[in-house]
Amino acid sequence: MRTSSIIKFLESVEVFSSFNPNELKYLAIHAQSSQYDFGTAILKAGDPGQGLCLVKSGKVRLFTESEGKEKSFGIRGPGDTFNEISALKETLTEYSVRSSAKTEILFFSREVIMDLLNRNETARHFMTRYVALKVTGGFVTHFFNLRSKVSRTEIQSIIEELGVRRVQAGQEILSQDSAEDRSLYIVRHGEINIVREEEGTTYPLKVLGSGEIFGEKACLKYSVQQASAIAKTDAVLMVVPQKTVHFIIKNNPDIRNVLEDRIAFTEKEIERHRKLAEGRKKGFLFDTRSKSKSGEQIIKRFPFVEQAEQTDCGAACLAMICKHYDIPMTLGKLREMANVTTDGATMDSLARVGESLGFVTKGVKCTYNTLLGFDLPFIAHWEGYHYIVVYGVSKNHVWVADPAVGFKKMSLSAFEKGWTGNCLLFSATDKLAEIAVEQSPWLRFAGYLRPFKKVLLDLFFAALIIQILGLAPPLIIQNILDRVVVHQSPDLLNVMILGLAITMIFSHLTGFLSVYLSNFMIRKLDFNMISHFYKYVLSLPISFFAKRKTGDIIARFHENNTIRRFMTEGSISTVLNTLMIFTYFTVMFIYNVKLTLILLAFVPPIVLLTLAATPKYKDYARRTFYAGADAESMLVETLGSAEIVKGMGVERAMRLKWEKKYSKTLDLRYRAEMFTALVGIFSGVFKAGTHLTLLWVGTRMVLTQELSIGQLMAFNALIGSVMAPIMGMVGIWDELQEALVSMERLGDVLELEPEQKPENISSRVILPDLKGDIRFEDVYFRYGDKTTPYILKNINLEIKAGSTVAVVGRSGSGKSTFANLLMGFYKPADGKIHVDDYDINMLDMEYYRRQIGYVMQTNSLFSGTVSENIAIGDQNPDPRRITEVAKLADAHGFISNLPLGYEQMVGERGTGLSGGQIQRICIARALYHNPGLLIFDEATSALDSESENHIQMSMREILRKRTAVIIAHRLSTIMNADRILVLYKGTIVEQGTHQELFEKGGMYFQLIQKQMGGIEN
Amino acid sequence: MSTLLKIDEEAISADQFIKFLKFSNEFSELMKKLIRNKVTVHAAKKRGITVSTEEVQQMADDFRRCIGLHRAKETHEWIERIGITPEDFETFITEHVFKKKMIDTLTTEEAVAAYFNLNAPRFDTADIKHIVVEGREKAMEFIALLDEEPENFDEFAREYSLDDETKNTGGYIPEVRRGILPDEVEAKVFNASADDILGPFQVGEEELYEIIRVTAIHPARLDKSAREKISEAIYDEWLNERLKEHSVRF
Repeated sequence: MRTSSIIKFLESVEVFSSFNPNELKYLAIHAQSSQYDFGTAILKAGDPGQGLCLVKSGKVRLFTESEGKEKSFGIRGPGDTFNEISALKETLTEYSVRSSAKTEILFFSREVIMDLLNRNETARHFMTRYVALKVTGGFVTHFFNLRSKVSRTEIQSIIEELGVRRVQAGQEILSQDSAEDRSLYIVRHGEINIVREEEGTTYPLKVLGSGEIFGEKACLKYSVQQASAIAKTDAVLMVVPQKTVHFIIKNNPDIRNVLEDRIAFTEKEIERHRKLAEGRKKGFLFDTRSKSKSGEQIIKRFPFVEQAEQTDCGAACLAMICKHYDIPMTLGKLREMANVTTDGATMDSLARVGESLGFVTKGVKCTYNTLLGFDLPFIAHWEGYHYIVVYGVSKNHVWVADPAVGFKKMSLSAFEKGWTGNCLLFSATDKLAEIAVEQSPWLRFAGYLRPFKKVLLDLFFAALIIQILGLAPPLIIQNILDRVVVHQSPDLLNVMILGLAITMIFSHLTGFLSVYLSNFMIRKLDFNMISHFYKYVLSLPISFFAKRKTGDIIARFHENNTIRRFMTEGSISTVLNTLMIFTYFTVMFIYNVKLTLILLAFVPPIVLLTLAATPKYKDYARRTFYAGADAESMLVETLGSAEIVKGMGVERAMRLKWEKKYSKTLDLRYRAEMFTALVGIFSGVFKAGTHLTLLWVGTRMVLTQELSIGQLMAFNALIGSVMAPIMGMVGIWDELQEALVSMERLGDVLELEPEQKPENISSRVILPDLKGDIRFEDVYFRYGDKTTPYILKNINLEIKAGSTVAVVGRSGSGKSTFANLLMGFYKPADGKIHVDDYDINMLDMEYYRRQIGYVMQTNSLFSGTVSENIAIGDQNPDPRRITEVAKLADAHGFISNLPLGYEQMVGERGTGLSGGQIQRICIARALYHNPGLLIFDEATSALDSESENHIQMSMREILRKRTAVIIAHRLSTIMNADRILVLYKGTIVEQGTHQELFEKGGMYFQLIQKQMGGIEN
Repeated sequence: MSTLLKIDEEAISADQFIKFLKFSNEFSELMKKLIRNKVTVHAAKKRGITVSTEEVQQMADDFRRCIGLHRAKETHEWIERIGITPEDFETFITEHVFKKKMIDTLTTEEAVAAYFNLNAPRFDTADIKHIVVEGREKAMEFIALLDEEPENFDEFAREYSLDDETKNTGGYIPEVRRGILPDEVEAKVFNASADDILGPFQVGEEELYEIIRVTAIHPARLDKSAREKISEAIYDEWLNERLKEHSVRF
């Protein structure tokens, strides 16, 4: 009964129209029916599709979801199908499906359908066509938003025209300046690089992913291609012929705007790249001839990149280093990153690029001898204006790759003539650590050891030699006793003593060597680990610093040492100890089986005792850490705000508070020590017991002449030696626990996402010169998750480049948060912020922020001179510029009156300077780099009115040719702004010029009134 | 201690009554009221506000009329009945006049207008309609349907909304003030334009979701109710400042 009704239904359905009644019956029998209420999920995008779905009654909606927003693909009613493609092959579902009414769905598994299709060629043909039509049709309709704009037959004819093209990675799809192919391409799967070549330089414009289009300009404007399209991965493309595109545009004119926007975007990108990049790109060459002989260190097959012009040498050097480390980075991109200053790369900018590529870089000035110990390759500064890469050194020669010339082997004297003594070192540890982020913390830290494989091996051999030499004394003692004493042979004694002396000297020499090696390695490891950690911490978003206590972060720096200790000493000694235990026991078994077995019987209790104590150890370690970090935080805080503490006369109270925390730490440490001592007593007793028992049994054996006296002495000495590795192994267990705790603690920092991930570097947009065109679109922001209130709501606003915008509002209205968002410190919870037409999230934050002059209400200076503070970050400060900006900020007067003027040392918080003076230095500091965007967050709040007047006068000069966002209380500061925004509880309630708002008599008027009246509340 | 009340032979003293108030948590409320009155009068006197006999008389008459004592005799009886002296009554009324005059000087037309200007958005109201349904998928589907045909909102509310109070009126909730909706919803509603459909917002911890259609946003107007609220707010803010000047312990 049920089957017959289904058959009846199936007969009316288009998809099955080519099946005969028998086949329909087969389908009906195998159909799985399910019922859905309104608003129930049927399929989720990304799930594997198992077969064809047919709507029997009701209706369903197809949609995709991204960032919590749904995009509907339309409704399917009775007789319609969905997930058609999975009837033919296994694919992931492209859209989600949900019932939009009470619905019955018939499901036909792929097996059932394929079974029929394999027997019915016509049906197979029909079905394939049907599926293709549905899939492409659905995509095209949705993509060009044609639903209800064109008829079904028109869609059909569009689809007939479409082509599908499969391309392999590396294949060129469109070539720049050609006009052969004017089709529009849509990426269905895979990735496509859009690149443009200009005067021999190729630069990447964009990487396109699924759903993006290219070829739009040639298609729309009948022009040549703007850029070439090359498949980055294997990809599937949909080709829409030009004719069809124009037909589509006729039906949906919005598409033209979309295409034109894209054309404009590409043109802008080309312009930006033109600005950033000049010169040509050359292919790589390898040095295949140089081989290292003894005393020479040369990198084999070092790559060479030629510079295009003089200012390019820095970037070319970086390109060689990238190539050497297999970092995929184009010369163009490197140039764009390194040549941010107009006169080419500086040592500083190269170092910075190195850092963002994931190296730990170190600039050093040194002599040739020191240079011999450096990691190869490194960049050397040449004749004051050029950079070269050194990839091989020996006592008398240097192998360099000069971007202007090529590979060169130079004599020491020739090298020293050109070399300025400056070089930039690269260590690659960071890159390894970065890959290891998803891996276990062990691998992450093991990455640091990798460059020291050889040293570790040397260390291991040294230790092995020492241990083997350690076997000699017991043997010699046995011989002295058994032969010399018993046989009265002084000659033999001399030989024995000489032998003993030689082994001892050897053992000490090897000992010294291993200390030397391990110190050398530890120095480098510590530097790499700590500096990487430092870099990592600073790369974390500002919210990290807002949440963590300083002391807490500092405490984590120390944790690196624990891990390093475990890795170096631990790794070697574990291997060694295992080895030694086996050798010693073998030797002992040879001496005497019975005694050895007795010794073995004592080992498990000692091991068990230690293992049993471990959890407690670990617990103590953890608690001591947190207590210590707490005390340290308190200390840092107190010292940091010493004037508040003293000013309020709460020294005693603060000290008591700290003492309480500190004594808690000490108490914990004391208890931990006591516990260790207690465990020590037990294991000591066990050990003593072992010795006594063995001595007793051994001596009895000597008496029964089972053992010679010499053998007993030797055995006793061996016990001493074997206990050390056994205890060492057990000790490793403790250290492991400690290291685990340390890893845990470091892990909770290292697992945080840095503000900008190094792997995204190639997709980040670097703005060569920030204009300050800012646009907020429906921006909502809150500091926490859903439960916290919005601080900014529905901010829509456009700030034109070069204009001055003032933000006013009562405290708590979100003004500073607004500045924080503008700085890119936080991301909006909803909505978008665009800077110079780029989404702020796409920008490279470091470059972006460096072009912003940001002055806060509370500012601090760094230890150093006044001029160092003003020109902070600049390696070659320009005294003229310093004076110039100091004058603008009205700081020149008081700085000149300081005893040492601009060379006066100032402290952490500007010791000896008033709040207003510090603020003025900070304004000068913000102006020094000639920022494109200026953000003053109550920047003049600490100034007296005279100084404020002075700044007001130079304000016109300060604000010239740059965008400024000024958050202020004082009327005088905001009156001249091009536009004033009035914030109230996170919403812009009024905006306009001073005149307009004043006349309106609203909130702004009232705020001004209040200020002029000088009455609060 | 004086007896306030007698139930049969059991005498309830004032002391016992106070304890009772404390137990039932009403003590501090009443006490606060008393403190506020006293502090206000104190400040009024300090500011040099004077009270004339006529004003006291007027206030006393108003008060009597208010509680339904029309004749002098009734008043005397009332005073006797509740166990106070005429002097007590006069003091009470005088203080009341002081308070009223103090409040009047604080909440002048200008002060109210200024306060309103500074805080206008706080008095915005919104008219909204909402549908409450169970399950996020369901809510999303309603939103998808409403995106296509917004005019169906009322019908959906009537048929599917789980909010029994409003479903019959198409989910209509007029004059929603700020501070009533959850923060997330409020932020979105008051920044939306008329006819925007918002949501779904999760209601509490349950699997209930709310879809909101904003029908109108009424920018604040300085009307009678706004005036009253502002006067209250100004007085409260002022009083909190004054309270800091005194040491109050209880």
